[in-house]
Amino acid sequence: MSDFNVLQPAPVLGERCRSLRCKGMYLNYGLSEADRVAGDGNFWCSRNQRAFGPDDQFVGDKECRDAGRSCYEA
Amino acid sequence: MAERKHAWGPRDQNVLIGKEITRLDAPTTIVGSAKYSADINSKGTLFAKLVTCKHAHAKIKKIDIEAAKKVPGVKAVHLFKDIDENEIKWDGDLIAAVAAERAEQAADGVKAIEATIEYEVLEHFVDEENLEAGKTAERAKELGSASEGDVEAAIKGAKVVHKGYYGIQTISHMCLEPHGSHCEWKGDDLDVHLSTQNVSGTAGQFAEPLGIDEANVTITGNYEGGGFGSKFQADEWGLAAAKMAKEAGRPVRLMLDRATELKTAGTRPSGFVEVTVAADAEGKVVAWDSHHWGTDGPGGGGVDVQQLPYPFKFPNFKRSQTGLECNTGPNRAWRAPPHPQLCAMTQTALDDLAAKLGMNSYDFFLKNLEFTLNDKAGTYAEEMAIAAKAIGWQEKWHPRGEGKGPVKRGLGMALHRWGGGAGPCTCEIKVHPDGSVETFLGSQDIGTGTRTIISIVLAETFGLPLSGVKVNLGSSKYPTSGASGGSITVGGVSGAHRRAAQDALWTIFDKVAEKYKVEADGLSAREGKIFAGKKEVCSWKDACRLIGPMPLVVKGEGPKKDGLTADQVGGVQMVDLSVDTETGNVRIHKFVCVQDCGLILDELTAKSQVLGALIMGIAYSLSEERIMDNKTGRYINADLKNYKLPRIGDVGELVAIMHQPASEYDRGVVGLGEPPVIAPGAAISNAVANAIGVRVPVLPLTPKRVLDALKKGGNA
Repeated sequence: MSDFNVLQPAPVLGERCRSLRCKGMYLNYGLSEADRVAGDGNFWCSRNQRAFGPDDQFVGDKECRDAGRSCYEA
Repeated sequence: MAERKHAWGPRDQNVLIGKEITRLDAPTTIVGSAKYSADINSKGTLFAKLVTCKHAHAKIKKIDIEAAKKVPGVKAVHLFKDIDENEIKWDGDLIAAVAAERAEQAADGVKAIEATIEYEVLEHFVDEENLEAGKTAERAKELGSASEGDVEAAIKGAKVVHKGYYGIQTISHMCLEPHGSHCEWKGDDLDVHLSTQNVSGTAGQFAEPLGIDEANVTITGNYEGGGFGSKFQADEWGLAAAKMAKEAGRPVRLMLDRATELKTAGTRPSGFVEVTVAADAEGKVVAWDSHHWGTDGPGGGGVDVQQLPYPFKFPNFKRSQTGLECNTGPNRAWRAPPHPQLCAMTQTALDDLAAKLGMNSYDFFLKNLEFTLNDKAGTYAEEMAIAAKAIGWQEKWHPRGEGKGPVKRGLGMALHRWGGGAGPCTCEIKVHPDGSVETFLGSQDIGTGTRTIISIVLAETFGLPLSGVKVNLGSSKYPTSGASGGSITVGGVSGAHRRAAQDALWTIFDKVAEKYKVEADGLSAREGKIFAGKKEVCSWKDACRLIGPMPLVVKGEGPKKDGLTADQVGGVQMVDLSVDTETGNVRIHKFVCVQDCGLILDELTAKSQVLGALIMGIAYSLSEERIMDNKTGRYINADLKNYKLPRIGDVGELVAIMHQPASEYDRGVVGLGEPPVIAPGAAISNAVANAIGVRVPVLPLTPKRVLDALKKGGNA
């Protein structure tokens, strides 16, 4: 959102694992980036519905772009 | 024909919109006929209970779930952990579930499994306020920093500089209805009654892990007993219920017990900060410099501080943050994430700066409104004036700590902002030839009045009484609608329904115009009739007969940028309270919230949102917190007796004032559910500081913390 005091550029990250989920995905679907109505930093894995993935590592927007994780699926 | 444009009607012509209308589902919830997920009890239902870990950090060396299967009545057992790969990461983490004919048999099954478990206990860390301990335990990680301007130079040139320490403890989501579901297989189809904020979005979350088609899953959620941001998932216990139902060939109901609900189903992260803030001779803030820490649980994150200082953008600021990886339950969104923590951490420090400047807090905040976001300064100023009048600010305010006797009285204030834009919504309206109207949408009413709001919009548009329309929601088989979070539901559903209803009405007007030889442009619907100007043309039922033998079906969508909805709301809160300096008890006398939210559809439900938020705010300000035992790593108050929530006597007089001048009405509908819960922490803390003359730095302001601050002398 334009009023966020985000001053550091977002890191360049890989593609998200297809099993990554967060609240914002269910609030913003069909909306453009500029029209997002809400965001959220709380992520979970759709495969096991936990905050830790099938590899027992933390589920997050950064962590689940790591194609080296054993459970990662593009 | 004039161009037809979707819009709300003139404010003075509204019959229902903006009035105080009781929630239409109030009678069903009051008498208990509303069916929550915990009430579903179809024939043959099995009852499930959970095996949870009593250690904060451990590995399971041995477990025998077969022991439970030998218990009479037990029909299915589910193991959550792969004992070779999964660690237990917090007290209350799930290990296994047992489903049985009766709840007590399931409990016996749980005991049978617990007797077989051998743990390897690992080192834990739960001391989330202690940054140095976190570093020593190698649980700290740097989460980044940001800056703008020249903070050091601004501080050097400032008239007054204040340094302080502030904090707000972790709380758990306290949903009256715990997380859980009732799962029943019908052949290859799975029916789930789910306590959820996300009816349209959870079928796929069950389908994928279960290896079935999403089309074979039906989610039903007609009522929900609180979610506050924590109920968007199928959850691992939901999958367990579905798997055990499959295994047993019987329905399974699995609702979390209270302890597991508090330990595992969501927390709001803690935030602690050391801050330096500076102002010029006029009292305008010139610099902000803060370092934050805290935890969101085992992930090692913390409060998202990107919008801090909140809700200001001062000319010079910098901030940095360290996250602590704790063996505590993971966080989830908690009403207005993360604004309550940001507001508390910012506006307590600002209030201390005002005191150091010798300024009345009101004058100080007014002076700094120019730094608020989203062009809301003018609205904030109006709201401050209204709130001040309601609470008697100018008459009652005094410099800090003045007052005789052991009971000191004080005033405090804070302000907040929120987005609240309309969320995605699809609805299908049917206008039947007999004049009855119904709508279908895969949204949910999470106790906030969604059914009522939709009914108001449809009845107002069609000129019908509320009883003339029927709202069908709470099924994933209805048209897809967004989850209820972010205060986006009222805008989403009202915009989509107004569009669809106006489209349907215009279709009917065209038929009336043709039949009765009148101009369609001049028609209106009110009082169950169709009028041409002031002249009655026909009844609503007569008009609907022109549709033909089949219903008129119209789809509504949103959000759209057509003026029906908008975003960005703000509010100001002021509190008048007393502090007993001998006991540390804080007593709220009066709590005023002045809130804008665009066009108000139902004044009563809007005020109810504000009042509920104030009570929730009083809770986390005065008593509500998760208490961890550093030695054992356990959550020691995970029950309704020791997890302190306000009683009637703790609440005081609450005043909700909806600020809706013409400029707000003309903006269209904006969501309200979350914003009023943001400012109480700062407002109450500031009032306590005004009363006793010292800052109680960390919320909640329990009697012990108040007495400790008085003894220490505070930091302002």
